[in-house]
Parts: sequence; C-alpha cells; structure tokens
Amino acid sequence: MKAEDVRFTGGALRRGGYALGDIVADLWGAPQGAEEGAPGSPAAFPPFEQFWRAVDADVDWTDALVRDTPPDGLTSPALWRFYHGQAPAVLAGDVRAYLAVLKTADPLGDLKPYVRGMTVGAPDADTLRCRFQAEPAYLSGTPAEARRYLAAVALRAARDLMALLPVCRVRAEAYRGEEELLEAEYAREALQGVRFGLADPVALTQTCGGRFSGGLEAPPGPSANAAPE
Amino acid sequence: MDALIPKWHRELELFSAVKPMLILEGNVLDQYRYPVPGSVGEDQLCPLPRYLQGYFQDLGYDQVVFYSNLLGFINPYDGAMLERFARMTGAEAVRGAIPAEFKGNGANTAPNLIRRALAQGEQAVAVVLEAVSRYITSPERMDQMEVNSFNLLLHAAQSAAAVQTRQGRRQNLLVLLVNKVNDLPGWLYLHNPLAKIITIEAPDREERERLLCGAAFPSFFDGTVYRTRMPYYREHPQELRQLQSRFLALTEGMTFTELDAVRRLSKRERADIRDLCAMVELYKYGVRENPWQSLDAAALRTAKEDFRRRVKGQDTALERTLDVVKRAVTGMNGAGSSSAGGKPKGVLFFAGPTGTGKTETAKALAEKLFGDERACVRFDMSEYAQSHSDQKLMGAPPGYVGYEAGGQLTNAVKKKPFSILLFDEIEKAHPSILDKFLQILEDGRMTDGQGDTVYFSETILIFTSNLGIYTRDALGNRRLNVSMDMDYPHLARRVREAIEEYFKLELGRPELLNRIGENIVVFDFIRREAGEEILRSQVERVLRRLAEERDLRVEIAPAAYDALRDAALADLSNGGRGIGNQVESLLINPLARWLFDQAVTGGAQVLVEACLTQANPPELRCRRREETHES
Repeated sequence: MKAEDVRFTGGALRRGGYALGDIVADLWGAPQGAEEGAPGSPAAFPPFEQFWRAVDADVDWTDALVRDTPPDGLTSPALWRFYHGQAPAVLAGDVRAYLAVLKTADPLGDLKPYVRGMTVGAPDADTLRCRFQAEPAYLSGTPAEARRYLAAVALRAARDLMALLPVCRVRAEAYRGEEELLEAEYAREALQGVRFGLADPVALTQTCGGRFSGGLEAPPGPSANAAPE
Repeated sequence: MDALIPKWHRELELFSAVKPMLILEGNVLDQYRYPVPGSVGEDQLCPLPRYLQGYFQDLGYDQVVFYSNLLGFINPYDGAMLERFARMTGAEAVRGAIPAEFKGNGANTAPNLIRRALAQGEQAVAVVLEAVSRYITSPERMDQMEVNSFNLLLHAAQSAAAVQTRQGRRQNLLVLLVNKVNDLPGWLYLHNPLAKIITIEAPDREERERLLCGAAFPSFFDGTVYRTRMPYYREHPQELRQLQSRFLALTEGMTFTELDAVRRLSKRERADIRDLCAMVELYKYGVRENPWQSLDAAALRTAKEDFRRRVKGQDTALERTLDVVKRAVTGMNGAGSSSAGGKPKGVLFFAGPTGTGKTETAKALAEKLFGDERACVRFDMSEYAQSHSDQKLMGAPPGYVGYEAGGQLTNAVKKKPFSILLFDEIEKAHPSILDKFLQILEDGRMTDGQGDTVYFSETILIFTSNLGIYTRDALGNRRLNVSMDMDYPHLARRVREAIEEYFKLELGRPELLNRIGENIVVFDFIRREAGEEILRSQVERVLRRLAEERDLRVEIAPAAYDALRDAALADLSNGGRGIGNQVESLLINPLARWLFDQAVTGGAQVLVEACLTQANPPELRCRRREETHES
C-alpha cells in the first residue's frame, strides 16, 4: 500500500501532552526570538535542550476500540470519537488509517519552530518514518551542539509518534539540503523504561543505532556528547 | 451480545416496584457493569452509586439522592436533583451538599428529611444511604438516639408514597448499602415485610467471561501488543480460547474492581497476550519472580538423589512425591480437572509410621523448589483440635479477640505465597478445620477474618498423618494395624485402606479424600539397611560438629561402633527419630560427660574404644590419642 507522507504545519488539534513552548517558558521564560518570529539567527529560536524530556499523552487504541467515550475525561469527546472510528483500522495495521490519524492529531506540530519541512510516512504497519530539514541556525554552533539539537528533535518526534500510534519503531532522518546529517531508528522496546529526565539524547540515539554524518560524526564516548556549559 | 443482567439487578427491578426499603449487601464497594443502554453506557463499569443513579433515573425517578453520615445528602451526578430534594424537604443545600446528622433530635436530621421526602406523593424519590455499616459502632450496643434514627427510617419506609411518573407508577424508595446485613439492627430487617435484602455477589463466571473474553478483551493490551500479536491468535482461535479459559479460572472470586486493575496492569506492563495469566499472578502476589517459572530443571532431575541423601529407605515415596512436583512444574497439575486455574500446585498426603521421614521430605522439597527450607511452613494440627481453632488458622472475625492478628495460615500465605504448607498430623485437627481445607483444595483461595482473599495457587499442600498405623479392635482397644515384617506393598495397601475408612466412615467426609485423589504417599518402615544408613549419617554429623565447632577429633573404634549399631537398631519401630534418640543416649550424652570430666580442650584427639550400652547410664570407654585414660 502506498501512502503519501504527512507534512506538518503546526497548530492543528492539540492533544493532552505538554506543548513544547510551555515547557520552554516554564524553564527559561518566554523565548524572545520566537515571539518576534525572526528566524535566521540562534537567538531567534527557543532553546531545544528539553525536547526529549516531554512527550504527548499516549492514545489508548485498545480502549478506543472498545469504548465510544473517553474513559478519563482527558481527551476531548470529538477527538475520541475520531479515534474510536479509526481504531479497527489502526489496530489492523492499516497505514492509511495511520496517516489519517497523523493528519488529524498533528503530533509534531509543536516542533515547527525548530525544523523545516517535517514529514511523516508509514513504510509499513510497524514503522513510521520522520524526515526533517535541520534549521541552519541550530547547526551554527559546535558539532556537539548540532548533534544534541538533531538527536533531541529526532527523539522527541519518535516519542510523540509512538505515543500516538501503535508502531514498533520510528525511523528519523535529518537533512541539511540534500545532505543527510542523522539517521536513527528508535525501537519502542529500547525506549521502554528509559528515564528521559536523566538521559542524554545523543548517547541514547547512538545506543539506538543512530548515525551522524555530514561532518557531525560523533566520536565514541559520553564526553563527546556532553552539552557545552 | 445479548444483555447479561446479574441476579441482583433483576431482583432490584423486581422488588423496587413492591418494597419501599431495599437493603443491598455484600460486594457493595465494587464497580459494576451497567447491563443495558441508558443514562450509563452499556457494559460501562461504574461504582454502585453511579449505577443506582443511572438505574433509577432510567426508571423515571425524579430525584435520586445519596446520603452518608460524613457528607450529608449529595448527588455528584446531577446537582439539580439535590436542589429539588432540598426544596422538597425544606432543607438547605450548601456547596453541593445538604448537611444532616444521622442521629439527633432536631427536625433536620437525615432520617427526618428522608421521612418527609418519602412521604410526599408529588415526585418519585429514591434515597440511597451509603456505607450504613459505619453509622453506628455496633448493632448490639446502640444508644437510644441511634435506635430512634433507625426507627425513623422504618417509619419512612412505612409511609413511603407511590407516585405517578411519566414512565408509570413508582414507589418512593429507601435503599441501604451495607457490607453485611448484620451491621444493621436485626429488628430493622428481620420479619419486616417492608424490607428486601438483595445480596450482591462477586461477578460470576459468565459476567467475568463477558468482560474478559467479550468485546472488552482488546482493552487488556497495549495497542502495539494487540496489533502485532492478535493476528496469530485469530489464526489459532483454539489457543486463544484456552488462554481465556485459564484466565477465567484464575480470576475466580475477583471483583470487577480487581479485574479492571488487572486490565490496567497488563496494559501498563505491555504484557503479551500469552502472558495474560501471569498478569493475574502479578496482581495477586505483587512479585515478578515466580519461583515455579525459575525452577532449575537440571536441579530437579537430580532431586531424587538429593532427597535420598536426606531421607533414607523411602525410594517409592520419594518417587511419588517427585511425580507430583513434576506435574506442578510442567503445569499439568489438575490438567484433568475443569477448573484447575486457582488450585494449589500440588497436594500430597504423607502417611506412614512415625519417624520415617515425612516431615523431612517436606523440608527437602522446600529447599529443592525454593532454595530455602524455611519455605516449608509447618502447622502442628494437634494445636487445632478445638472446634473454634479455625479462627486461629484463618483469623477471627471483626469484633472478636485476635481479629487484628489475622490467621496463622492466611498470614503465612500472604507473607510467602510461594511455599510448602505442611499440616502435620492432620487427623488431630478438629473436623471443622477439614472443611476449610476442602475449600482450599477446591478453589485455591480463602477469605480471612479481615476480609482479605488469600490465594493458595502457588503453594504445595502436604498433609502428614499416622492414620492406618494403629487400628481399634472390636473391643475398642488400640492395636497395631501394620508391622515391620510386612513388605512395602502390603503395608501401603493396609495404610491406604485405613485412611479411606477414616475419611469415609469415621469422619463421613469422602469428598475430602476425593480432593486428595491418588496423592496419598505411604512411607515404609525404616528397615535395617536404611537404619544403618541413618545411624551412620547421624554419627558422622556428631563427629563433624565436634571437629568444626570444638576442634576435637573423635574416632570410634569398629568394635564400639558395632555395639552402638546393634543397640540403636534393635528396635526400629520409632523410625529415624528412634535412632536419633539412641544416638543421643548411647553416644552424645556419655561422650559429653567424658569430655567434661576430663576437661578435654580443643586440638585433642579422642578414640572411643568401647560403647557400653548395657551400663546404666550408658557409658563410653575413651582415651586421648597421645595418652591412655579410662573413663
């Protein structure tokens, strides 16, 4: 089955999880650059250090299959009805249903300020593939900073997608133009039980088999991944 | 699927039309599956108050209010109903509640407001009193104000009016929710034609089946697990049915609340479909390491040799014991039974003469299975000979001495769900205790005095008994039923017959015997050859301890050992324990006496030259290796 990738523009339906902007505002105050909407320099973008720590609320697909009303009042009845309608197909592994859900739920909309041209596709029922163009402003620092940025976005995208759909893995690919900068495949099993509050996104990405390229190759060892002070 | 309406709901339908006072007792704190579509979704699980709100609302009642002595009158589901109730009774609702004491003399006590509400004929009212068990300390020791309050409720029921609603004629209703009906004063419900007691049981198999195997089954699993694993079971429906059947058996006796907790646990743990039953065990025991699953098969294969080293001369009995254990390990226990799910892993009935290794075998089994002899929990059943001893075992009911302590058996299983329970000399227990065992053997669970359900499904139960060794003649005199000169098959047959006779004729409980089935293991007398092995191992143990703990090297000359052996094995009727007594009397005591008298200290070497078994008391002739010294 061939299904076209879903392109995320942000601002669609907001689900139960934390919005990235809220987290950033909580931790560092409102990002000035983001308010001004002047991309192009590092100061214009909100910091990305906490990306991987947050995740959207899980969609309980088996509950959505058997119930037509949300069990806990956390999900809006309208969205739950949509899930309820899609649940048989989603749980049958129908990738068209996956894409319909992705379009409606827009799980990666809040990553929009940090990347360009993010798309998500479903090569098969077990896998989602997320591609994005890195924002040049975030690549202008040291290679370690660039790796941290890429891993953080990729990890957050993988976690949000796994929270939304019952897939086993998410493949994330980051590009600078045509040049590939990161390719990582996050397995659900591997992320199970990880304490994201303490995890280093670069190390975790590398543990999951992630490869940096385009001059951002990570030397082995945890010190190479440490964030600059 | 057709609506499955539980018995208590049908009784509610029936009697709410004809009785003004309904007492709902039993499993009232559970959640309930709303059986029909209405103001509560069909098959939706909800607490009893929510259920009753939906039920009475669907019947056309204008007002449903709930009362508890802590909160007053409330309706968390429909605030407008509470407002109307306040207007009707002349009370005042404050922040979503009408405060009212249960007992007192004022006009606005709860019973007075209820009486006013039920007596009016304008609007159909159902008043639900929650947790009535807690309104008074004890129904036997009520003060006059409490009596008056309940009396007012009785009056309220007496004066309850019938009301014409848009859905027909309805009776104003008083509904009392109690844990046990005898939490209420007896005069309120006994011989009271106005009241009907409706018992709410834990969900039966059919109800559980609907939840576990029906449309809600997918909700027991995480979405990814369900999507990836369910296709296999769609192709192998027989396997799924077997799994669900076992799951149903394991969840017997569990409430809806517990079943829902298992569901959420399974989802949270991302359990595979095939691991569903393990989730029930996880819920029940709260541990992930199941010793049964981590048993070392190789270690079990050598068990017979290990047991032989510990228990001498009982090869046939050990073989039978290990058969039961292997059945338990392979999950074949009760495979022939339709409801094997919650039963104990194994049941053994060790019979035979005293001192033949019955208790020792149980301990050896505990060490082999659980790596610790202390996993064998022993109960001396001669301590449970009184008719009220079951309270000692299972825990006293509320209000009785010892309630807080719980039961010895139930506490032991709560503490160690994976254990061997050894009930020594079962024939000495009071027959009423045997009824309790019947329930354990059949259902694998027991509710203790504190209301906690204790599960025995991970235990092995071993009963030991001397039944069949002695019998009574026609004059009632006690005489030996078996003797040393009988061969083992003959002995085993005699003992088995005597046990069957005891349960069937003397006790009149053949059903207990049926539960034990073919698991009666008869231990042989300790014969001469086994006796020699036992003696040798006991003597070696004594000498080893002296060497290790006192640094004394003691040797026994062959002639002395022969004399000791002849004396110790002269009478084997007391089995291994008798040999141990002889070793103590003929070797340990005289040796200790000699060592003390001679002030022998560590590092010395001692030779026992002779064992004077005929002396009184028995003596040893010993000497130090370096010097000659007579005792």
